[in-house]
Amino acid sequence: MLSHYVSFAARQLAKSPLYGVLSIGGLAIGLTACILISLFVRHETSYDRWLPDVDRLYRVHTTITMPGRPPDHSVLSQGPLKEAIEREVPEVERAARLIVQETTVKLRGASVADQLALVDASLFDVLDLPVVRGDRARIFADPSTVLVTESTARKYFGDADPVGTSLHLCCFADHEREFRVVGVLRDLPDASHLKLGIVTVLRAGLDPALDRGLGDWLSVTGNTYVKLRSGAGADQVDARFAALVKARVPPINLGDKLIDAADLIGLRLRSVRDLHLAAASDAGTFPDMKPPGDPAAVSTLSAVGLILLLISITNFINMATARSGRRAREIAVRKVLGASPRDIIVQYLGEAVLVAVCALVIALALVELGLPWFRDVTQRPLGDPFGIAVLALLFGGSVAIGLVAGVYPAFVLSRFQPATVMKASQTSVAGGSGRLRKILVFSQFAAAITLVACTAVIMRQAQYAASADLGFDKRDKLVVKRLDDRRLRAVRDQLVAAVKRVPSVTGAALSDRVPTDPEGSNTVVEVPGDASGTPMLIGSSAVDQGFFEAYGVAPVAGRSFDRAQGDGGKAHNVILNVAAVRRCGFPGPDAAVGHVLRIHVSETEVSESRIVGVVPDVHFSSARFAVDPMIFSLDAAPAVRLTIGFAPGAGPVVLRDVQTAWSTLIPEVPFEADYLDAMVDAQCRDDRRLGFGLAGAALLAMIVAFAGLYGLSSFITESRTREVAIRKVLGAPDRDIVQRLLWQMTQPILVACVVALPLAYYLMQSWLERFAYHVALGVGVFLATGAAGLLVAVATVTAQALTAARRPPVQALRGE
Amino acid sequence: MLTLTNATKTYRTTTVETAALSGVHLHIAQGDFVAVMGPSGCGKSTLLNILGMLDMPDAGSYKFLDHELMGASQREVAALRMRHLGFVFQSFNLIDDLSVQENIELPLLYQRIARGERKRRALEAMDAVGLGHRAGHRPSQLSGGQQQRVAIARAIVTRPALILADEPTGNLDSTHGETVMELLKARHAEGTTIVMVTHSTSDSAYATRTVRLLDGRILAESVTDHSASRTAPAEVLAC
Repeated sequence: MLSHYVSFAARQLAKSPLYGVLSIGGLAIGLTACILISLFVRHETSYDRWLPDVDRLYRVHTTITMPGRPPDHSVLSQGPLKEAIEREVPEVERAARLIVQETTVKLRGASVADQLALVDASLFDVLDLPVVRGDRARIFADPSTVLVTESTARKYFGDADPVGTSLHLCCFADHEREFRVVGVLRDLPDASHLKLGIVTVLRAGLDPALDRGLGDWLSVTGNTYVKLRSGAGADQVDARFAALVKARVPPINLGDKLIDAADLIGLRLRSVRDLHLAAASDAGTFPDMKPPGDPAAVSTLSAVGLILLLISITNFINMATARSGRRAREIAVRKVLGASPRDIIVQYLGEAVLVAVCALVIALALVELGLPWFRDVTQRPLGDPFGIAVLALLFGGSVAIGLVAGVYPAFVLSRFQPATVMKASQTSVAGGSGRLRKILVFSQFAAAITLVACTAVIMRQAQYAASADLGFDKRDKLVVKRLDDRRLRAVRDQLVAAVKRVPSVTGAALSDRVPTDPEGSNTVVEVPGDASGTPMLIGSSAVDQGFFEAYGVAPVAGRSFDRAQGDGGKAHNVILNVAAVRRCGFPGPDAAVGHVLRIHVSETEVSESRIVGVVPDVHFSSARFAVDPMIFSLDAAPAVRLTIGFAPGAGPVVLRDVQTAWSTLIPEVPFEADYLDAMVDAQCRDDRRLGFGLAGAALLAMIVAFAGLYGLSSFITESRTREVAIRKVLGAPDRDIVQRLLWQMTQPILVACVVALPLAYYLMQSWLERFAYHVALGVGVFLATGAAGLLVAVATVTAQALTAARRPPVQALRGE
Repeated sequence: MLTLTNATKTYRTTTVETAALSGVHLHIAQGDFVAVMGPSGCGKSTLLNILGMLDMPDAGSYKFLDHELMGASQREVAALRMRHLGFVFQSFNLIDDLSVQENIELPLLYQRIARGERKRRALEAMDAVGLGHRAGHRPSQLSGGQQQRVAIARAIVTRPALILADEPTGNLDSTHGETVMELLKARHAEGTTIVMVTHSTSDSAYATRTVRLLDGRILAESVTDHSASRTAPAEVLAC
């Protein structure tokens, strides 16, 4: 019996290649998209699940809320916190800090930029990182030892055993230190928020700057992890934090006002399981070890994958029920010859399962082909999709899809009355309910059109963000980094002078931050004469002369910085952006110029600073966020970036020459530079990736939907062959017949547009709220999507309608 | 073998009621060869569908081999149909995607008969209709007469007690039609009961009884005396 069903199903597919291609192809496309998206979702939701006792592991995140400023989130926390938690929070079993620092590895005469993780001796009690060679505990006994991960070992020592060899790291208090490798940590899975290469013990005396940070409650220094006792809850610990801060941190002086530290510093535990996605929004000023995931992308793509699969299944059901009319006579004969309804159901479900399994085989091949591209788009390694367990799951899922998709046509067919079918002409037997078919076509197109309209808006927004006027010229600029390295301080002026001598360089300016850098420092500001008398916190940035000129930013009032006019040095002249002018309460840029602000340079020192100019609101962050009020001062000392402007097209040459100048002056510090436009574009990368992912999915959805429509229209025209012939015999012109068929077949799509477009409008309105600056959400893009959908639908069915209309009626009537 | 008592069947639409059968009494004994005749729309096919258990009367009684079918479950009816009935249609109703042999095996498949036995009986049936050499062909590769012989082979392969034939020669020329009728006659000679709907008087001449229908009622019945001559005129009996 089974072999009869299988061979018959195979013959059916071979007999109707159009049906086979559309059903199997449509389902294969839906399954492919679903498998790829599932791989991505599985990867994104599997972060850190591999850590032993992960349910008890948490990291302390900090929120600093300064008066008048939005909360400043950080995944880092204060140096003294670990010891305070261990003493005062009984729910915590162990706590450990992990501080990541930039370092330079010197090996065989080369300098390589790397990162050094400084960890407490308790770290492995909290995060149980497996070691593959040596002894991980030895780093805590001997401070001149390090652990390296497998990939770091390969990077520096090739295939040789690194245990016992030395690494020279630079610099600790301006000194290079030698560390002996005592163990090799297993490489962490990619699905981890942790990024480790070289690990040593965290201790005092390594670096004075670090020592200061470790004792400071007002700055965040590193990651603090805790392992809770069994049964303890994060809420219990969170509830203790306010009291802990109040007890440990003295009140903070903000503009002659003492504010309770617990009002400014908020601490909370975030589960290590959630760090990649749910807690991603906590990453503020200081980035995490790895870029966080995008929960919106995960949920959006999950929904899209599901929609695509549903569209494919709907397509399959539609084709199968439409085709059931064709098979009515076969089923009737089978019933007359003794087939029970159960036999018919089993046969039809079996065929549906066979189609679904064929689709799965094709989908797996497509996944294999598309995986490299998808890995590139998502920037994730993604797992092996073809493990036994996954394959078993996919096979089971396909069988289930086949059963779900086949159940309706199976029951429709099993209920055919043989006597009725035998009496009817073959083409006039209804294959299921026409209304149901219309509803299915409507659902398919409503989903596909919504997807396309949303994708169009997301792509437009990504394009808008990439090309938005950020207030500065991002072209032809090179940003040199790592200027905060102490060894560079002595030669910095020489470096700037050397850079300015490079041919094609049009200007060079130092600054403490450049566009795309995370938010910088804040300054307490008082506006003399301000009725409220409340000091306010405003973002501040130190720039060198020529900075605004290098970025093509012209003042809207007053002038730019000029040392010749007394800026810098003792005259604390400042420049405000327009947002700061508003924050300070000045009626406008012109009115602000000349006023004096009281700026708190330190806790004890207040400087009288004159506003000499106002610059436009320049987007130092992404266009997603509104521009914060900013005060600029002329001071090259805290500079960490050097912006170099160059003549168009001279980028590679300038990069080479600047690198040569750097290597000549300070070869021991690795050179690191980026083109500014690439840095700015990278900010929009996530939105662009999401846009590309959605565009791919939308395209597939439309292909499946239109392929389904094509197949369906072919069945509809076939089933109306006799009616068309009779109309023609009675004198109906071809045009009338085509119009009738077109109207019948495009009705559900018209209704789908009416439902889908307002829905897409609503969804996109909510989505765009994430952006401070976004494209105007006009109705044009939605109308265009609807019109394009209808146009393609008409084009899809017109050919079939024309063929039906032009067929000589005698062919159809001969069978009567 | 079967008795239909006071059977009525009415087809209804929202505005029209059509009485297909009105108070039909019919008894068919084992070994009968009954021809059902009458003009189009007189209820011949409805009667055949009811006798073949593809449809049920609205009222009356239908007894088949001592089973009362009025009120019987679908499953019971399907089982009786599968075990005891064979069908031959005017339009053959072969499944194009199955070979000749597979078409003939199909009823045996639903009787859950083992593959070897299925094959043996299918070959036997093909030989009986003279199509042993066409086992692997598809119906579309055969002539109309050959297709109807396949349909007869399919009808006899289960060795049914009753064969119901709905205008079995309606789509065939006279030569092929005669071949088909000879096959049915041969089955009848072996003891199979046959009920055949036909418009053809020459076909009805093969029958032992002829039932004439008009407007859903049996108008007349006649018995053919084959001991005299196959072509002897039928005697019309009062209804």
